[in-house]
Amino acid sequence: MKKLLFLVLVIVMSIVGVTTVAAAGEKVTITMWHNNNQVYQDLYEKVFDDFMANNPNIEVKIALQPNVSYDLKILTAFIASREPDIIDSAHDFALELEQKYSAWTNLDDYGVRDWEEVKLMDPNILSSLSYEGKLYGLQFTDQPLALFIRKSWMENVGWDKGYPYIESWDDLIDLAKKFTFEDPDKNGKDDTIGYEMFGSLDRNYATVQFEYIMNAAGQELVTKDGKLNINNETGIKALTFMQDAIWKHKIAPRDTASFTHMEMYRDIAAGVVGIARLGGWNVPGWMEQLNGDFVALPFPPIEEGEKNYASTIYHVMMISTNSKHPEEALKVIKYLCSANVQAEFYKKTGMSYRPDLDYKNLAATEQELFFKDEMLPSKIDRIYLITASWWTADARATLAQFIQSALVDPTLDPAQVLTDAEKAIVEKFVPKK
Amino acid sequence: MLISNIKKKDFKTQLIYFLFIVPALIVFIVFRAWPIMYSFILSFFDVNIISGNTFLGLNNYISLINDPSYIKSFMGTIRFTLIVLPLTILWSLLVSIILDYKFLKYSNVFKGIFFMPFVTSWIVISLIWKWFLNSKFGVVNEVLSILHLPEQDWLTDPDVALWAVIGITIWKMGGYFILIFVANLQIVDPCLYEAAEVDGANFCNKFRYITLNALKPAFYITLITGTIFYFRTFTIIFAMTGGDPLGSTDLIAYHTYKLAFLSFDFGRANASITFMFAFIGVVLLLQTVFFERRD
Repeated sequence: MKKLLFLVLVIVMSIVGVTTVAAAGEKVTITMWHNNNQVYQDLYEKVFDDFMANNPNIEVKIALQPNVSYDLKILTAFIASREPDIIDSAHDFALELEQKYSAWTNLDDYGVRDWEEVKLMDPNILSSLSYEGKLYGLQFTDQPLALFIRKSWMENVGWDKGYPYIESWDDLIDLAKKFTFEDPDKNGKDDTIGYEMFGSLDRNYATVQFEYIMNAAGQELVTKDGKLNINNETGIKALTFMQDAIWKHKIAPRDTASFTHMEMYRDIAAGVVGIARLGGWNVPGWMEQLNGDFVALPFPPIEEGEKNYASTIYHVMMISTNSKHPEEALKVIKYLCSANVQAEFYKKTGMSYRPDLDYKNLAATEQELFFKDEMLPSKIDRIYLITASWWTADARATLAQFIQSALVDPTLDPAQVLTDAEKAIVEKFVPKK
Repeated sequence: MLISNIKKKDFKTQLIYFLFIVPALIVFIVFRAWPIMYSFILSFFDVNIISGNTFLGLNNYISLINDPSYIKSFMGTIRFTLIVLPLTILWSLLVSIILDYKFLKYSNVFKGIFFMPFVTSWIVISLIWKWFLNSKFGVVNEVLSILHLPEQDWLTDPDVALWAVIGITIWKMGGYFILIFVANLQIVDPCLYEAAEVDGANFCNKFRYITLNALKPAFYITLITGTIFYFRTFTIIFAMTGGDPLGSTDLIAYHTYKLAFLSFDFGRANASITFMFAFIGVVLLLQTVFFERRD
């Protein structure tokens, strides 16, 4: 009997031992999704090849997902428990999922704030990636927001001001008028749009556009201490500017209130838009599509001589709270934040979060420096999109409705619209003390 | 003995018939009945896709009823259905009668033309019309301008946008309704018209007592399918207006989509679906009772 027991024990121990050995030597697969474009996908594949060569026990599978339904795909993946370990996403969506579902791994549990790579991140960005004291994401890129201006049209309408081409909102309006009414494409037809904006309620584009102009004027919609900051002089000027662009100056289409980025991309590709918003991520594609016939510069200041603020949105990397290999996933993220990888991404995409890179030399080696000095990631003023946890998609949707009302009805007073919007948002969303 | 044999045979036959429908039944239960049931169950929970659900009782329903944007969307959908359904039926009836006119040449070609929008996908149609209705480049405003009529902001004027959606919906769904009406008209015995003429019936009398009577099944089908379809209108809103401007085209199906996938409020979204399901069910029941009583 004792022999039998001993035999069983030996067999069980052997099996456990073998299994443990297998687990220790097992190759861990980390899956990652992003929604950038093929340029990024190729880069990711290249840098992960190097990573896997140095980390033979980690396999990284990177997948490019369509931008159009990316949020939806992530949501359904969570529902089906098939989400990837790492998700690269815009930071507003990341916050929404954290607020609603605590979807991400608490990175403070892994001491990431002590990393050199994280110490280089702007503390304000880190605070905007924290919810209820939990750091749930790490910045991966700065994506500067700029103004797209069609270069050949400036020549065609005789706009001979040198860089920065437009120095105030009045300049922008004047140039957009020429682009709208002076046949800048020289085809003899009235078929051009001077300035194109967003105004749809779909995904709160009306708020996005308003915020973009506010940011460029140095204001955040929500201050760093969490106060709503729309109903002020700059806010009124920004909304008046948007409303007048459509109805008074007629430089923006009357359909603006139905536009998302899809319409803007369509019209830019069709060659009918003179001025529009440009994101750093658009540059590689449009350089090819438009044969480089555009310039990118920060949105101008309200008045000539004032400071104009370069703003950015940023992509974030989060680890799913269900990930079975958070430590390996963090190793992947740390690698992506390293100076070498960030430099590699900057060379191809013009975007990196690290302020310590030698941007001018990097750009000179592989591509023409597209953004001028003030648009370099190290110098962006960083006017943030989200700084308060109550500033949710629903709150932004409420503001979008008010902004859109001013865009479809020229008789509405922007000051009154913003007063009403402030009242509605404060009542419904801002936490009472 | 004989009776029991017949019964046995009957049972066997029934069993074989039943086995034939089992695959379809399984598909129906898995992909239709269970999701509906599950959605109904979820409507009583605060749905958390990661950490599990919390029972809320009727709170999701109460919250919906107290939400002015939901009520606006719901009432807007009823208004949309009440406008678009009779108009589609009228339009289809008119076109069908013309197409059924015995002296009309190439009627099959015209039938094809009218049916074509129905077989084209909603996404394609919505995107094409969005471009047609563009205030600056759109062909519709171009035509209005040629006719010296005022141009319209089809997609950004809150008073006009819903009518644009209504017009396109009638144009597209009309193809399906026309098919049903024409099929019904073709089975009307011409002798009935000849006999009526002999009895001195004029065009109106023939239309009222023969044509409309013959079209009763078509009215029934179009009312039922139209109610279901129009109350669930989604794709054209999703692809063309996004509920804009100012929520004037924010119909209930799109509003529910936003609840689920933009506000991540799956509990309320499921409550909305259940509410829609129940509402459509009641309307269909009333329609069926009405038609049965008329018969």
